[in-house]
Parts: sequence; structure tokens; C-alpha cells
Amino acid sequence: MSETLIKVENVNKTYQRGGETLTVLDGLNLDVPNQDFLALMGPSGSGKSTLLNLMGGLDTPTSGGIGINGVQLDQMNAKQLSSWRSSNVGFIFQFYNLLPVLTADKNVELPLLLTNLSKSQRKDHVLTAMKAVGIDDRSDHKPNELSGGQQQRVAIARALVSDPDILVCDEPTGDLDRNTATEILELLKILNEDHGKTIIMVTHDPVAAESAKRVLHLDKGKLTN
Amino acid sequence: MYWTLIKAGVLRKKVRSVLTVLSVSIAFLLFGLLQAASPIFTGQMDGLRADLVMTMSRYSMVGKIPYSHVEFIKEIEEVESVLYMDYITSVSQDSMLDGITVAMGGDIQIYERFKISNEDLKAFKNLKIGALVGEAFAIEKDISIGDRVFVKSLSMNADGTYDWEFEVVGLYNSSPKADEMGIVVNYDYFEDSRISDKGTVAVIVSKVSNPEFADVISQKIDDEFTNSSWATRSGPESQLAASMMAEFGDIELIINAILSAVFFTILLVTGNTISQSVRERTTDLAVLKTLGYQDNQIFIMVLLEALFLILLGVFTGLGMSLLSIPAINAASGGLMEGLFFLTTEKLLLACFIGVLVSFVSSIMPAYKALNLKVVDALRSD
Ligand SMILES: Nc1ncnc2c1ncn2[C@@H]1O[C@H](COP(=O)(O)OP(=O)(O)OP(=O)(O)O)[C@@H](O)[C@H]1O
Ligand SMILES: [Mg+2]
Repeated sequence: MSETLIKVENVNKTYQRGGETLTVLDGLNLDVPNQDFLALMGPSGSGKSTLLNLMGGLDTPTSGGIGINGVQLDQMNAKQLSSWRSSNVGFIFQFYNLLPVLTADKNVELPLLLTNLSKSQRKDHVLTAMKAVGIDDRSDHKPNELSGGQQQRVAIARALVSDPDILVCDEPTGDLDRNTATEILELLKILNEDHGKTIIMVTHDPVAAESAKRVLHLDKGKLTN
Repeated sequence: MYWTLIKAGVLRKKVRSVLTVLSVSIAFLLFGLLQAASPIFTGQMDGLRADLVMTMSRYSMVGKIPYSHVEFIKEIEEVESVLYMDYITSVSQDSMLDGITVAMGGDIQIYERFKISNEDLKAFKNLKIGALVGEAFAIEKDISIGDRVFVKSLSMNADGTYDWEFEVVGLYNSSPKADEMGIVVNYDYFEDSRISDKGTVAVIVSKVSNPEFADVISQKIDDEFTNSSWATRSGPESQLAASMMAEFGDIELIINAILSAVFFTILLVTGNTISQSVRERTTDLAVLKTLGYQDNQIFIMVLLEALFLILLGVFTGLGMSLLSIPAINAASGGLMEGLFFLTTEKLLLACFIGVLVSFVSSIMPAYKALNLKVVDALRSD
């Protein structure tokens, strides 16, 4: 845990709202080392999701630089960002965001449909990812046949399946009870420690933040400590 | 890849997809049947000939022209042979022969699509009151050679009655089978015996040596009589039927208007289905984009989804029409043979319309999906 993986440099993000300029991120600097497990906390509206989306390549800053593994995300167009995302970052959301008509394994397979992998190779990858999160026994279940915790495991498997270096999690336990949340956090810890994934997790829950190696607080578009 | 996504899209609201496919298929069933029937309305039948010039009264389809016109036409250089005929319409339930009996004179074999054996033809010419009966009609009425048949007609017979009697001397076949529903008698006998309309015919058919002359000869005939009280309308058989049908009102135009209305409705229905389905799946589409799916892949996915639904409907609809056409033909006892069918062009036209409808109905929703911004779509506030 030494060299910098993600470098956020003097990033501004503003929105125009009815003639007014709303500054969401204000000259923000942040270094995330490789294999970090970083928790981002802060009040609602402080810009946590915005920052997370920038580091995940879902959005571009109004000004400033975002470098990841030597590439500058702020210089990329939408098409380049989208193919960068498909192989470098996995997303985990509060509400799982699985496709309701697809079975668990088909959901996990979705990112692989963009690759040249053969059907059997895809099957292997899907199984590996589902085993890693302990949900391989539910592969032919639809999301509505699974509990929240199980759905989140499927979502994590989907984030893992293309073996990205970075996992980006926006309140991954926000919709789960305490016990299930603890299980999911344990899983994230294992992914960080044993599989070497760099994890950035937004959370409102101080207990959840304790699973992380570092906690940063965001307020009014600036990092506080 | 697209297949998984299309399946996921279509199966998301199964009932709605089924209803969409169903409404599209019904529209194309209607298309199939109306198109199949259009030869009946438009006179665009197969087998009509360009080398047979038909001449009839200019102003009325049932009007008469004098026999002297036959003499004139026979003298035209390029005319090889002439058939003339008049109709003996039955008017009473007492008639055995409902419908139309045709009195023919001249070259009876001018229509190659009517098949008459040489013996039958000889017997017909040798017996004044002889009659040739279409095979289908003979079967339906249980008429056989040697039978006597009766018509109660508008034309008075020399004996002062309206009764006409003929003796069946032979059968004829034809294609389309609908033309077998008739009976042919000798014009000379009819002409000699009738009291009214003497010296007239209803239609003259002349065979020209080369189809290229047909128009010129038609014009020549019509010009000759244009200032007489027996003005004519002439034209190649292949065009005349269509142009006469057109005078009833452009039925093809009406059919097309109906079909356009149907397709417009289908456009609205599928357009609504697709845009609703895209709206409902905003989150799904945003998730796919998050996972690395390109904007244009999402765009194509929406277009393909619409194409899939609509082509499924098109094939079901055309399949149903193709299955019902033989059934309807069979139910008509072969009468619509050659008049009720779908050509490959019509089938291709249907597929083309399907593709067009799918494209037009899905282009806007697809464009919306293309422009969907992930961060906005996934925001919960
Ligand atoms: N597309 C947008 N247009 C206008 N304002 C936006 C847009 N996206 C975000 N904002 C605003 O930016 C601010 C920060 O939003 P963000 O979602 O990053 O907050 P957050 O810290 O994740 O909050 P929460 O804890 O509620 O999720 C909010 O005031 C939000 O309304
Ligand atoms: Mg947020």
C-alpha cells in the first residue's frame, strides 16, 4: 500500500441551476493509494456521490484532473470512459440495480458480454465471481426471489466479474439490516485484503466506516480531515 | 449480446409485449387478406392478354353495339380473328341457369384459357340449340351431356315466350376456375330467335397479330365510331378490366387508405409501447451504461427490440393470412382460384412496412436512451 492509484487534483464540479452556479466540489485534492479501503462520509448533499462518480469515470470534472493508473479520466470522451469503466472499475449501489428479468448469473454475466470471451469462458468467470461472494447456489434465481443481502452479493459479483482494480460503492449497506450489512462489509474487507481490490465506499454509517482502512469527511465540497 | 438484452427488454412486461405483437399481427393479417383480394377489385388478374382487343359500348357496361361493328373490325389488317358475344341474363327462379349464359359467335377458341375438345366444338357448331357448359357449373348443377337446360330471360323468343331451351353437347374447362361457372350457346341461334335487340352484340374480342398493335387498333376502332350513336370503348384485355374497375371508384385507393390508417395506428401503438418501455427501464439502461455499454449500443438495442417485436407480429400476421388463403379458396369451391393470392412482392412489401414502422416508432425512444446521462438517471433525489 504505497504507490498512488488514484490522483484527484484540484477538482471543481459545478452545476448551473436557474442562472445560479452551484459548486458541489471545490478545488478538491485526494490521493488514493493502491489497495486502499477508503470510506467517504459527510452530510447529505456534500458531494460524496459526485466525487465517487468522478473517480469511477461516470462523470467528468468541470475543471481539475483525475488520474488513475497513469491515465487521465478528465481528458477522455464518453466513449473512451465507457470502455475504461468496463475493465477498470466495478460499481456497487445502495439499491443493487440488478436487471429484474435476468437470473443472478445472467446479471453477473452482463459486463462480460462486452468482451471477446467465449461462452464457456464467461461461464467460468461468472462462477468464480459468484463463488467469491458466496452466492453461487442462487445462480438461477431472479432478483425478486433473493433477499437484499443476496441481491447485494450478486451485484458485487457483477462488479468483480471483469476483475477490475477498483470497486466503487455508494452506500452499499444503506438498505440492509445490521447483520446483513456486517456480512457485506466483511466481504468487502476480504476483497480488499485478499484480492487486492482498491475500494472507495460512501457511507452514512459510522459502524460501516470502521471496516475501512481510512475515513475521510466531505463537507460543502471540501475534504475536512 | 444484443439478444440477451432484447430478451430482457421484451420479457420485462410480457403482457404488453404480447399485446403489441398481437395488434401488429392483426394489422398484417388484414394487410395480407386485403392484398390477396385486391385482384378481385382491381381486375389485375393473371393470364389476361395483351393481344386480345375488347370492344364494347362506350357508355354502359351492359350497353349493346351493332353487329356491323364486327364486320368493320374483321376487315382491319392486323386482326386475325374475331369473337362476338351477347349475354342471356336469367331473370327468374324458374331458370335452371342462374347467372349469365353467353351466346358466342365467330372464333370461339380465341381465349386460349378456355379448353374445349374438338369433338365438343364440332357438336356445338352442328347443333343450333347446342350448349357448352363449364365443368364446375356442370358439377354444381348436376348437368351432363345430352341434358336439356332452360333459361328464363329478358329476351323474348320467337314463339312469344321468354323461355329458352338448349341441349348440352359438351363441357369446357378454364383457368381461373371462376370462368367455368357459365354456359355458352350459339349466337346465330340466339340472334335468329330473339325478337328484341336484333343485330346487336355486347362484346367483340379481336385477336391482333402482335400485342404491340393492340393500342393502335383499339384507337382505330373507337375513332371510327366516335360520332355514331354506337360509340365504343376498346382496349387490350389486360388493361380494360383494370380501367373498367377503376371507373367504379378506385378500390385500390380505398384499400390503401384503410391499410394506411391501420399502419398509422400500429405506429402509435408500438411507438407508445417502446417509449414507455424505455422510460420504465431508465435505471436498467443507466446500469448498463455504468457497466461499460456504449451509448450507441444502447441505441441499437432499443431499435432492435422494436424490430423484434414488430417482425414477430408481421410474421405471425402474414403466417395467418397465408394459412387462411387456401382455406378461403377451398371454402369458395375453387371459384376464387387465381383471384385470391399473395405474391412474394406483397410479402416483401409487408416486411418492408414492418421495418419502417419499427424504425419510425423506436427512433425517438432510442435517441432518448442514447442521450441518457448515467449520473442523472441513477440519482435518487
Ligand atoms: N445533475 C445535477 N444537477 C444539479 N445539481 C446536482 C446534480 N447532481 C448533483 N447535484 C447537486 O450536487 C450536490 C451534491 O450531490 P451528491 O449526490 O454528490 O451528494 P451526496 O453527498 O451524495 O448526498 P447523499 O448523501 O444525499 O447521497 C447536491 O446538492 C445535489 O443536489
Ligand atoms: Mg449520494
